[in-house]
Amino acid sequence: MSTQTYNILLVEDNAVDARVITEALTKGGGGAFALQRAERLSEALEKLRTQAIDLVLLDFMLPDSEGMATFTAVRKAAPNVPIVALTGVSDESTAIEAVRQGAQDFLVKGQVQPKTLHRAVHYAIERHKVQTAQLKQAHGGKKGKVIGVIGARGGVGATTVALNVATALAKKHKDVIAAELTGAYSAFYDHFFYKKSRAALSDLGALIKLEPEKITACEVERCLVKLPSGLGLLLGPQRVEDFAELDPDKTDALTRVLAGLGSYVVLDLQSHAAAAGQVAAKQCDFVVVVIDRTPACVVAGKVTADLLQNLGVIPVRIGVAIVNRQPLPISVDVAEVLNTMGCQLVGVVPTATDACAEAQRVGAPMVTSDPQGSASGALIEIADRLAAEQVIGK
Amino acid sequence: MEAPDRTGQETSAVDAAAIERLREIGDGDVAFLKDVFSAYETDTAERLVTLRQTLAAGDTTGLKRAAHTIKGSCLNVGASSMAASSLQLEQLAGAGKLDGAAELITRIEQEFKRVVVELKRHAQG
Repeated sequence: MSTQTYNILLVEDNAVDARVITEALTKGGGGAFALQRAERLSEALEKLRTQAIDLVLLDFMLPDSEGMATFTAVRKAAPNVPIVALTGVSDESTAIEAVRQGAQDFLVKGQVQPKTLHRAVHYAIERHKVQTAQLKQAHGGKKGKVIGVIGARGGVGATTVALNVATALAKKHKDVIAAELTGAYSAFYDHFFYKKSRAALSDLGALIKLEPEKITACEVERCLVKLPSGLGLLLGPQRVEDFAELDPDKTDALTRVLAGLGSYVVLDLQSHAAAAGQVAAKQCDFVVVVIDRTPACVVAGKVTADLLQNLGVIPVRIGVAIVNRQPLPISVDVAEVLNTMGCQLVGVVPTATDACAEAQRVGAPMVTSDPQGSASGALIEIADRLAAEQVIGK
Repeated sequence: MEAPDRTGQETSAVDAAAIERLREIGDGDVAFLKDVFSAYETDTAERLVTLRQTLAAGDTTGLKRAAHTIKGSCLNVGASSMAASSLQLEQLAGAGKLDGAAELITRIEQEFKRVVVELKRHAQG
């Protein structure tokens, strides 16, 4: 038996059904299920938006929705969460239609037994995992963890955070990739290669000229620049003639391919992400919003977190990294930052002007050029936290 | 107690098998059984009021929903005859009709009284 606790959302307006199902699921479940209930569709959608739910037990007849419309709305809001339909004896046909459209199973209320319920829920979760894995395989094999890094606004140091986190990850894991999702001007280039000729390096410029279906693992791999640390870099276009607005469909294809190539993929996303960046953010397992502690930047961070949530990135998959590039005249304290932004803290990077200058001079991230420094320590901790299961989920 | 035991004289309002199922789910926990019965009684009493209100207002959608909920609750506690009447009402209202709804509601109300009495007996035994 697995020791994992599954977070189950019971969507059921009938108090008696809810009481019986809760008892049947929790009794003898050995603590395998944590159950919460929503009585209305709107309440269920809100919970799905804000929490990591493993399975939905769904009654179709709710005060604010009924029949297949209920199923369709939940499916649309949480396409990756398995659904088991709860049905009455007289409306099995709707449940069968739901199974046809992707529900994992259905249970007839009033006949539910603890054993059948436990089995149905376990099977539904496991079957869903297998199906998802098969689907991923069909779309290009394994999937690494995709971490998005986005500045609340320009100049806060998001690229620096992305590169340092990726480098720290590359020291401990194989196949780490940092990709710069910009159609114009490579900031990665500035960090690593400013002494080299721009023409000497391959970049996104060639990839974004291809049609989405032509953006294959082979093509992307050819554009990666491998660093001695093992980190693979995908640079934004460097030559002015290659500058172009990123196409959302191409970005979507590119992000999927990257997820198949790397065990960890760190995406440097543009602040105030436009359509292409939004598509990429949706595919992230976790998104780090980088801010400094000026009041205006904290507000910008809140806007960024809201944008991500509107895109469907749930709050538990969003974190904030606070960067103190220089001492500030007005500075918001950490508790207030978290309170305003409504997301978890992944790290605070202290001011390190000298280490930054040194990193620039040698053309290497701080975690390499000054591994013992306090800023490097904070960045390595962020990388470790992001790699840990409890942050990025299952 | 003033109500004599009428078992055997007329059909039971509650199926013993359904109560047995609840006992199994609760694994012998009497508090659970009482909990379910109390949720049934409170919730259904409220919905019965809704039946009358929606009927008076000619609100067939509201009537259908309330009848549906009563039916679901009844099936949990094995009140199959009352569930059948509720299903009839649900289907009637679902078809947008109200003819005969008042009589059905009266029957459901009477059945509810019997169900509650029997559930109380089950909770003690």
